[in-house]
Amino acid sequence: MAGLRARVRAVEQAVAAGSRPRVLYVLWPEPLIVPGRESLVTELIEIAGGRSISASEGTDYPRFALEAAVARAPEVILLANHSASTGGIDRERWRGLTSVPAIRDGRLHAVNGDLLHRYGPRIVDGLEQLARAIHPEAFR
Amino acid sequence: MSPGARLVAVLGVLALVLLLVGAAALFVGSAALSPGAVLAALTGRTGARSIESVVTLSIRLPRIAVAALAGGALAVAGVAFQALTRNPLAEPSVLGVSGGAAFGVVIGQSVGLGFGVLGAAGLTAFAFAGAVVAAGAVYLVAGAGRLSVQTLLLAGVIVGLFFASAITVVISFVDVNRLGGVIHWLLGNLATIPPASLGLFALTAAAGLALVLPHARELNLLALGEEAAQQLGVDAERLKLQIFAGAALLTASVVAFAGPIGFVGLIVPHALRLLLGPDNRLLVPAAFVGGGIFLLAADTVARSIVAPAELSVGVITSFCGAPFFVWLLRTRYRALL
Repeated sequence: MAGLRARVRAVEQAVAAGSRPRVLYVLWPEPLIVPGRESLVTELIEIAGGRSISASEGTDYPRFALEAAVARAPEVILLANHSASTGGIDRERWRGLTSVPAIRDGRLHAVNGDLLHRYGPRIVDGLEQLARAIHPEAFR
Repeated sequence: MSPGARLVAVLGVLALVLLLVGAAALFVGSAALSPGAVLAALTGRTGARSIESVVTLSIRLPRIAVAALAGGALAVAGVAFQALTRNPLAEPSVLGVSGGAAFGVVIGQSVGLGFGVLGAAGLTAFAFAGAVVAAGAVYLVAGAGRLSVQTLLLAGVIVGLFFASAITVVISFVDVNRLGGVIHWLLGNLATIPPASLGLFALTAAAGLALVLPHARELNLLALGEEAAQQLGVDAERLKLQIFAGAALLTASVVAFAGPIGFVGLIVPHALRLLLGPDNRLLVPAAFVGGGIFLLAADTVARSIVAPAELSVGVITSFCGAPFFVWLLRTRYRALL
């Protein structure tokens, strides 16, 4: 337990100095489902030094319009993988949106949803994964 | 006015309305772009890589095209099923044909078909197979031969319920990660689809339309009864097969690309019959454009009414369609029941 706490603190310290980029976290691509105000992932993105563009949405896991996501100009896009090889990932769809800062700067990443959507000790693994994706410069 | 001139006039007016609704839809959406920004994107003054340009041209425009195409396909499928069964209340969703096509798509998805144009082609084939099986089942359940209005509707409801249960069975057994989003899709959900898939959708819908449109005159004769049509030189069996294939293909293409959107095939043909009369030579092409207008308007509401979230467009069409169906049943078709 102390080890887990230490790892969370390490993440917090590593990202403390950096900016807080706008993050679009894609729970499901079609229809687009994102984490809202009350969800665990929104909180983890905060701790990992980012700001979820859907952090103020009312419900836990709201449906979200693609154009609303694009208009909020995310600087990092994270596509959640769900267990098997299938599931949420649909990279091609996003690659075409070249005006989005995250796509322009090549900051479209897959993350392992199993580590981020379920309460448990593996969340710390998920948090480190998030922090590396949002702040690669802090973990060189 | 000669029939030809009337056709041109009606299609001209409908096409103008479609263009106006389409243009209006470009300015509506949760991204809250100013009208000036949309205009700038349309005229290319913002640069192809701006957010305004991507939202207007890469997100809204393809979705408008999908909505217009799907609405047109469903409305023509409605006209075709109504002529084929000589039943004014027949329609892909009421007949259970959409349900069969949806079952086909769910099976296709559960065996791994999905993203990309090849996946979409596979899903369309599965949807077509499902639509044919469902329509065949309705025909068998209702008893071949002369179908009364209520027997056919009842058979359609039974087949529709059967396929709804079958879909639930598949969803229960298959890994949820393969079928995520299926609940929204089952309500009928329009989305921005990539250009290649949009092209495939347009091709399949055009093929379905091409099976129905040239036979509009014969459908008028079929309304007199099969025997009368035969005597007037219509090969009724062959005609029915072609119309059936066309209507099933139109339904399947929409279900594969947008899900089982209900009631469009009922609302649009009836509204147009009230305006234009029952001549299928006018009704079939008018339904294609009119269906596009209706579904485009419904989708524009669906994607802006709860922004930044979205509703499935099927919710809007059902909210319009269910009361309309009741109204038709209680007023215009009382004598048939």
